Amino acid sequence: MLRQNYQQMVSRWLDRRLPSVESLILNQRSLFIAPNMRGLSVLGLSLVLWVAAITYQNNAIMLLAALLMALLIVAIAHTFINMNGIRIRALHPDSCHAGQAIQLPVAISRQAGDSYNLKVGWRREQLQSTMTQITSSDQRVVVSLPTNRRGRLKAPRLCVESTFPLGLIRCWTYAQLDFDAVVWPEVVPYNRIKSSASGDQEGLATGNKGVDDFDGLATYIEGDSMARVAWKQVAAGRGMQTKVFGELVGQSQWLTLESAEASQLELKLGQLTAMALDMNNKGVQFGLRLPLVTIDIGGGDRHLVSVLNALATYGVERC
Amino acid sequence: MLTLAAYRHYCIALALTMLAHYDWLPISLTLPVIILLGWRYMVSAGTIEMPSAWLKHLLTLLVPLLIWVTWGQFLSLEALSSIVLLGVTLKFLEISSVRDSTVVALVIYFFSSTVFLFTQTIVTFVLVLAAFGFTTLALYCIENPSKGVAPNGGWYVTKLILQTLPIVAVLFLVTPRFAPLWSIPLSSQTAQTGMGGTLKPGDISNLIRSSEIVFRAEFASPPQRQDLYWRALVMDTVDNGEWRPSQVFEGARFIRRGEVVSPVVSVLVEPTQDRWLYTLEGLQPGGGRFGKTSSGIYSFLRPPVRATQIKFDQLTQQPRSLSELDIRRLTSIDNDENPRLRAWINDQQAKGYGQQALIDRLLHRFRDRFYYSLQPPLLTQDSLDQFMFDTLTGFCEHFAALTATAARMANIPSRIVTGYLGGRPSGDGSHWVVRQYDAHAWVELWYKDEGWVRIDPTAYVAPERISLGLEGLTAGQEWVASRSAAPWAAGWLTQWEDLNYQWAAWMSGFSQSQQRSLLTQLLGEITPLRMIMMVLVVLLIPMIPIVVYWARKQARPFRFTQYLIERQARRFGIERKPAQSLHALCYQLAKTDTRREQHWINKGNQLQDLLYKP
Repeated sequence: MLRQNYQQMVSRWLDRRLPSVESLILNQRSLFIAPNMRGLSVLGLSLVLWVAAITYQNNAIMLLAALLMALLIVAIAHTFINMNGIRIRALHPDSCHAGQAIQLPVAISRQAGDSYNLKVGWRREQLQSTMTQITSSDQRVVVSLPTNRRGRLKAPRLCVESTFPLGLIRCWTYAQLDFDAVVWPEVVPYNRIKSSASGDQEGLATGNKGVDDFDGLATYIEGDSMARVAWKQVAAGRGMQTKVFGELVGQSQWLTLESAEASQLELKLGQLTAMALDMNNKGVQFGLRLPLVTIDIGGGDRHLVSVLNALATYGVERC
Repeated sequence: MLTLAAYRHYCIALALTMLAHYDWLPISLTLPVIILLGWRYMVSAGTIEMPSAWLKHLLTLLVPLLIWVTWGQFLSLEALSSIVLLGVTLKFLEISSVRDSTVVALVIYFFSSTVFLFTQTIVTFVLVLAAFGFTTLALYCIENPSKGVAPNGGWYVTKLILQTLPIVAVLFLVTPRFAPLWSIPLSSQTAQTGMGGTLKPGDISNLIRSSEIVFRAEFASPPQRQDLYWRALVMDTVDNGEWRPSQVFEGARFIRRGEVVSPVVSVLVEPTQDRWLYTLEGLQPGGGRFGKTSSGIYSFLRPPVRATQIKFDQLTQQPRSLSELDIRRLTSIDNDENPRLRAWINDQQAKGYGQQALIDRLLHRFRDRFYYSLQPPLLTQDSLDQFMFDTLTGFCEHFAALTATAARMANIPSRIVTGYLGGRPSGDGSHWVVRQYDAHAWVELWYKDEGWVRIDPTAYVAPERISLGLEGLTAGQEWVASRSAAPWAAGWLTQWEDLNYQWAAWMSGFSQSQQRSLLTQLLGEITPLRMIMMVLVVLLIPMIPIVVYWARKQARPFRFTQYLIERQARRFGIERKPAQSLHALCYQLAKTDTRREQHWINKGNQLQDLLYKP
């Protein structure tokens, strides 16, 4: 309870101090610095030596204790300078479906001077990549984040840290990067597309046949989709032939919440996602009609993405 | 993981530290360490495999055995340091993480600091500092494993350590110093050969040949060499021809005295196992607790295992007179020994010589008939008889023993004082150096009206021994020649020893009171505010280059130029409009400030070029 409160407090403080940004230049406001375990043990040794120096009335040991302490102090400045001025920028990531890990690209550079040994990850324990040298030109690092819910992506704070030069002092930032990414709904298998009562299907042709209905083969014409080449026939030595599907080829279909059989909204959205993907694969033109959102009949990858984005963000702000 | 580069630097650091520990580290420890380090080196280089688990266990079990065989115990300083050394060496064989390799650094830092428990010379200090640098370099190499990416480690670490120096100075100056929290007996095998605790003529001492430094003394006003009779032990009991002190530490009173403000002389004693103090007659030590016997022997409460500075001032108490008991004790002598000497004394007394006259006769006899030699014949039965009438050859101990014995036979209370005579001024003349070969023995006789009177019988035999010192007397002899092979070498040697002295005096002398006086000198007075100010000032100084560097990297270009131009423009009543470029502003200025039209046009173009020209 107390711990939760504390974490909330810290997170609220961080939100105020380091709000969500697309790109961030590290400075004394955004950097935190503290000795790590190794640094603390050096500090401990310095104190032990100090006590020994007092006990034995030994000035030489006192000097050595002071030297160790001073080394730590100077290392703080060096570690800070190493991190100061680094620019972290969120790049545009590829979307993914909920349940998959989204790959988030980050560009890191530094205008003046080089930085060394940066580690990047979500939390301190899960630092994923190490970058040995940062220069003025952008370096791309991809961090992977498991997703579990659909919606507009809200990534956790990205931890960028370094213990250069001696590994005794840790300097880090928790950057709230604003990745422009959408997590699409999880693909849920479906049996068939329920036709809605209002008869939304346009251009119905041969009645109830499913989309998967195989109609026959046609000679391959240049420009036909590779996905539809009958590779079995090619392998059997009968030349390039294209699979021709049933009635819906060249036709279009509206997808609505009623098209999915599932009862729950999330599952419905998942099935709609699967349908949209399938139709795009088969080259069927389709549109989406959700309460408050309508996307006109269309085809192609961009159309698919806008449909999937609409499905992903339906009813949620951010995930 | 431990990279080869990091490991190599660790090895160098260890080697340097072992070199600093050279005095006491026996080959039975260094050899296993070198073998294990070589083994691990071949593992790192990929030649051989890591040792198997059981072999590592076996090696670990061998460590206590080796320690026991070498030292016979586990709790002495040497044994403990050896355990640390062997431990860190074995640790190398099982390093598997970055954390492990950092632990090694800590242990080496610690091990190198233990050097100072044994010795604190400049050489060891430099060695330990170098070991410190290499250990830090190893840390750097662990943090930056890939070669050629990060800046060169050696240069970087040097820079780092140089930057620490001002901070070290402040920390050293302001860290609080207390009296020891608890006292730890230091038993060190590196016992220096010291003056013997007893005296028996006929035992030739090796000590007299050693040129080892015993202590150094700094005087308020330059002394006369002949006055420098450094007293250590007062031997007032004789038993079978062997003289020894009746009291040394047992039966000594404890005196506690505050810091001596204006010392007559301050003595820096080299580390030794002996507890007695070297003092001149009529002086007493200050600044601590000491033992003091009725015969005037001062002693440390613990042997000074590190160089220790003691300051002396004038003794304020009057010497007390002897009681009957004292007189009887100080004139007691074995009656059946040395019959010929006793007969001679009786003969002299029969001739009517009084106490003082009798001693004078003896001393004249020394001058006329005796020889001074560092290699006198060995004496056996009734040694003083042999010396007095047969061999006639001896050194200070012989003459002192003979004089003191003769005095006692004539019922004069007598005692032998051992210590050192003279010494030699250092190269720069700031202090005197007293070496083992300055060891000397003389006699004190009690005359009723004069008290204790110092008599140096050796002076009658070999006056140059007193005025020139043993070195002068025996110049040209082999052992002296080895010390000063060539004049230029001797010069360097003296300078080096002077440097060592300054170092040791500073190192051992910087105590709580020293700290306070230095701070007072620096700050005027010691107040918390001034202390904080000093810490801030000195800690901020190293920050200046950092801030300058930072500002240079961060500053927007031409911010200052921009400020200047805007100020000039304001003077002509022109306010820079939002989004107006500097170039445009300069052109506008050129129109207004017609006198400097060309200047502004040039400036505008220049700025334009600098800012936007690709």
